[in-house]
Amino acid sequence: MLALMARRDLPWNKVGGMVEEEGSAVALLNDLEQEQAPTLFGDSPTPEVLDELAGRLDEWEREGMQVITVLDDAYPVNLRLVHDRPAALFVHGDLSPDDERSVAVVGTRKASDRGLEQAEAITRGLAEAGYVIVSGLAEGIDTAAHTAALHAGQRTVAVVGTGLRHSFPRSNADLQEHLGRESAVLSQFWPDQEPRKYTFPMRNAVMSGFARATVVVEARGQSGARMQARLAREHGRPVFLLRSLLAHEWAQDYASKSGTYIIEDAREVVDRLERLYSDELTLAP
Amino acid sequence: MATVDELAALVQGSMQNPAERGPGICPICRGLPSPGYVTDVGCGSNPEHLDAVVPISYAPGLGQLHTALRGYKDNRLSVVRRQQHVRLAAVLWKFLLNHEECVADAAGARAFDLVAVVPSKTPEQDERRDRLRALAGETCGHTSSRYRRVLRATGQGAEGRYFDPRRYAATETLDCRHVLLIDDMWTSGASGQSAAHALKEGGARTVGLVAIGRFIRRDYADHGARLDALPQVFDWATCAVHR
Repeated sequence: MLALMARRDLPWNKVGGMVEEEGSAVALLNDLEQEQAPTLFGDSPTPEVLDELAGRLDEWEREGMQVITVLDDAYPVNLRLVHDRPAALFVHGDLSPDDERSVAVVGTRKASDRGLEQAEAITRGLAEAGYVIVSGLAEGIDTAAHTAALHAGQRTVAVVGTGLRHSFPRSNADLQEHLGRESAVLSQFWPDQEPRKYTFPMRNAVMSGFARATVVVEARGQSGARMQARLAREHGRPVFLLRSLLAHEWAQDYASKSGTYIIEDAREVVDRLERLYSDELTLAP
Repeated sequence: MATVDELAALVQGSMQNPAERGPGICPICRGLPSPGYVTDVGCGSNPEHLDAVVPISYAPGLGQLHTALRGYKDNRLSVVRRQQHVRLAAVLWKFLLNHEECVADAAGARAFDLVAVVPSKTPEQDERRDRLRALAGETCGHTSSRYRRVLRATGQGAEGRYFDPRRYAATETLDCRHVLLIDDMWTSGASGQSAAHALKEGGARTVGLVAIGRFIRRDYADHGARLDALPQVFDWATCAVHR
């Protein structure tokens, strides 16, 4: 699986699905290398690549990282349901079956005091209702969400936009370390991946897929949170926008979209999710 | 309890209305014909026993709807299968509530008095994979009371992707019945047309098929680009019959 990811010529969010369709990562790798054979000279490079990756895997595991692929039972359940699923995840700490009942709380890095208060209140309410809190370990709303979850004694998971050997921002390195010890920090990137403009939107797709729903607390037009709202909708995950966001044009536009709900407090999120994740279907309530 | 509208709204973000009739669009299944052809490869090679084919949405390969359509049936985790099952049932329910009459019109039926599903290809697979039957026969309240398992896979005929009149057989006499045939995914139409053949052999007067997803391989020829050039929206108010 890692060898397929290392090729970098396959879209990051399609490798997992391609392997599942093919039934085996090795079979897919062989197919792809046979297709390319006329353009290569000499023997297939696969054995060397696999040996090198096996060496790296040992190294990562010694550093306390787990590598979990779509073929493993431990792969997060919610993420299995979305097309944007990475073939493998790098994890500090441990995934938990409880993570299936999780909500992502996201928003701007440059949060206002009011935004931070709202993030804390929403997180507290969701945590009290037993939801695992997911966020992205960025400054601002993300940090407020993780911290409020910890204060409420609830599990909180970070989905980061860098490899696990990096912290972004540096100021959250301690929080990252703490979450890696107490719950889980996960990344879809090779451990040495530095923060880049393109890594964060990819991370937002995985965060959306990991959680049952996304709550956007405070976000301006061009933000990762808004991006995540778009992706969550595509993934079939409910998107909750705090009413105060309606001051922004993008949020007004989103408010009318299917699967998007305007809310004022955590109770509305909890009630709605209870219904949406019920096994029973009825025409009228 | 989740409502049909709520769950269908969640799937809507991954749906795309089939293209309007016109050049470059298969008039039978709304697939993408090769340049110079009127129908797509499947409809060009399979005999047409269905009186109407109505895909609800495109389902591009490895996209979100395709993931759901694979997941509800074959994912190894029951929680994954169940969640997708309920949502897809909501999509079928809402679509038929709005458009079953259009499908019946297109098929030349006054109304459909029987609902059936396209079986899996072999008897063993069909016994094991009961999810589509459960979807139309239990979870989708719009079809459940009219649903009967009237088709079985015979284990005879060609394997795989080609139309075969021997693949399925009707399990009872269907004299003059108007059958709404449900499938989760339309790929080449071989199974759908084979099932329609068996229903007609059994005596059915009309057979109209509704498929939740019209599968399109994005990496085949220029299909990805052609799909992207179509409007990326889904509107419940319209259907392939009226486009």
